[in-house]
Amino acid sequence: MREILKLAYRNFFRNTRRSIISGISVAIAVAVIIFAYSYLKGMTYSIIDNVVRLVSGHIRVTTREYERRERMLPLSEAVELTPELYQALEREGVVAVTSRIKFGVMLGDGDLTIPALGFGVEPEKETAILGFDKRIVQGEYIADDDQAVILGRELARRLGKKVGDTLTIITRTAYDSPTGMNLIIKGISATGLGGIDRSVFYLPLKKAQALLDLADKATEIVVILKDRGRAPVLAGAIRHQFPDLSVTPYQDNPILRYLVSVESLFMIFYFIILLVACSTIANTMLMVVFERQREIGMLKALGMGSGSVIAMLIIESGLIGLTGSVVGCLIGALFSYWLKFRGIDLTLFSSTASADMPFGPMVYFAPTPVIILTAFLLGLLASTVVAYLPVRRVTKLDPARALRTI
Amino acid sequence: MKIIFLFLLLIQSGLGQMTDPLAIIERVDKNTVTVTIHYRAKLEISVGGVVREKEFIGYAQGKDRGYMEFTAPARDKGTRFLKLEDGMWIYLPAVEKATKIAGHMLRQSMMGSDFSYDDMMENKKLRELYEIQLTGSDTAFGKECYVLDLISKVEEVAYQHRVLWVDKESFVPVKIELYAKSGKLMKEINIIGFQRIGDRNYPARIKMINKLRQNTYSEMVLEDIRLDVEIPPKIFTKAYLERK
Repeated sequence: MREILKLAYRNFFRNTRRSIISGISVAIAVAVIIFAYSYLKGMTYSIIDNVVRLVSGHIRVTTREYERRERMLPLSEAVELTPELYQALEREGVVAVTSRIKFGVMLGDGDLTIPALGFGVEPEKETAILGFDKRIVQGEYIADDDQAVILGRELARRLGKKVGDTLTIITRTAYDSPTGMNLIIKGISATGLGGIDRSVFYLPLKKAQALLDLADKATEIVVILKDRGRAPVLAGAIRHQFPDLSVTPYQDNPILRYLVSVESLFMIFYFIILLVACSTIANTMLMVVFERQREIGMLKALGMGSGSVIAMLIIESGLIGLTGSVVGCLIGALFSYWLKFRGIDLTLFSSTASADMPFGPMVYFAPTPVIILTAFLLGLLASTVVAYLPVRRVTKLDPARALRTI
Repeated sequence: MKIIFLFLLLIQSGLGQMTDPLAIIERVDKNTVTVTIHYRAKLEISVGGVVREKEFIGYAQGKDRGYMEFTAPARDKGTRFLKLEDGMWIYLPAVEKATKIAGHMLRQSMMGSDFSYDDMMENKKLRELYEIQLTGSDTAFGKECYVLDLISKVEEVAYQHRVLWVDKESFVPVKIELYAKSGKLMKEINIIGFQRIGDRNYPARIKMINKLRQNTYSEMVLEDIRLDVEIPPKIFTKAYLERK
């Protein structure tokens, strides 16, 4: 075996240029995989973070009917905010519990009407969850008792409103009666999330309750945990205590479930990239077999079995793969870690990059040792697997005829 | 001879069976369509067994002008509606200015009731809007009725098809079924009571059941009904709607 290794090692350097070219293709493929995987992971984390902050929390509590008809935003199916419910939610491991009211409204005067989504929120508590206090680009953040709103930047632009102007909201109460309120625009926010900046506004929960005739009610309660992994267990416990309510851990959010399935689909995609990249190795090994027919014939005539010759050639291919993978890992990791800290601004590539995507224009890559190791092993595996096909012709090679060919 | 002729006419029009659907609908329109009207009303809205009550005053002039102002409960007090030829406006005290109600909204629920804005402000002669057929007789709420089938002959009607059960005695449509163009039954109106005002039998207690919602009904009781009295023109102005 040592001899085989030695021979393979020597052969690796016999045509250095060819070995390097084959190695480069593996290196590029491995680097691309690390790059793409880290980007996808970063995007996934960004989406999870946004979904948790803006939509579901780690656990979301609504009435069952609200959950079923959520697309219609049925205010009549709001949750009663009882002390018992709060007591049950504020348990060990819970960092924050906050209530929200989500309602649809047409904004605008005269001929201009823009469909918008209003959120009644608890401004104080939401600083740790929504974090809108950090997203104000003009004006100030709202306080719990303010008769004021925060408008998304794009929504403000479309309405032709600025800080200090009055926003008139006319909508329907939970009992379908017309209702309205004048609110001062106290701040304008920019999240970088197209859908939110274009159509969402926030007002204090108390004002939303008064506007919509929902005293001591909210359409949803959001719970943030210290350890998000415990969400399914805690959700189960709350559900057990309040069987009439819908208690959903964030892992059940349809967007996140979709992401998980996309991630496994991408693994197949990565392997295909590698197989294509490794076709250069297959080609190299095919040439090697043809070139060294006499030599292989000699080795076989000297008593080396077909298995050993195949092993020698596969090891040679593996060495190319190993070198390529190491170099690819270095390049991929370097770039990905750089973009982990620097981030990549998608608006550089397209102004509508985040139009309706649940992630912001800045995506921070998320490389991990597991990603790098996976790409390395995939590179090594693919380079040995693809070598087998051209190399197995060696078994058919007759030593006497091989020696006569040249 | 003249006396005999008059006697026969009397039998056909009043005492005997009517066979002319236009004559029947004319009697219905005479009862329900007014030149002007002023009233106070109580509106009871029942949704899923929970009943809420509202009170309002209303004015209407012809088919195009209407005004309503809610007086109770406290939450709705001061909410006003104005209908003019070119649209409908709502005034909410908290907003302090009138806002036009978009066209498609007029067919939606008014104040959460089973009545739509269009239903509330309707004051047009059915005869002008529908082709009318007399399909037979039936009993509704213990009253002998003519059954009329109405198919719209103009585009701008809220309901393409109506079936009316018209009380043979009072010529009040005690039951009305309202259908969409698709043939789907949308609403049912029951006129439970009427008031004799002058030579009219004016509907005074109306129950509306929206068949597209489950377990709901709305009942409106009109009081102090004054028909064909003069209404100050300023009532049908945006300035009056937006008054403080």
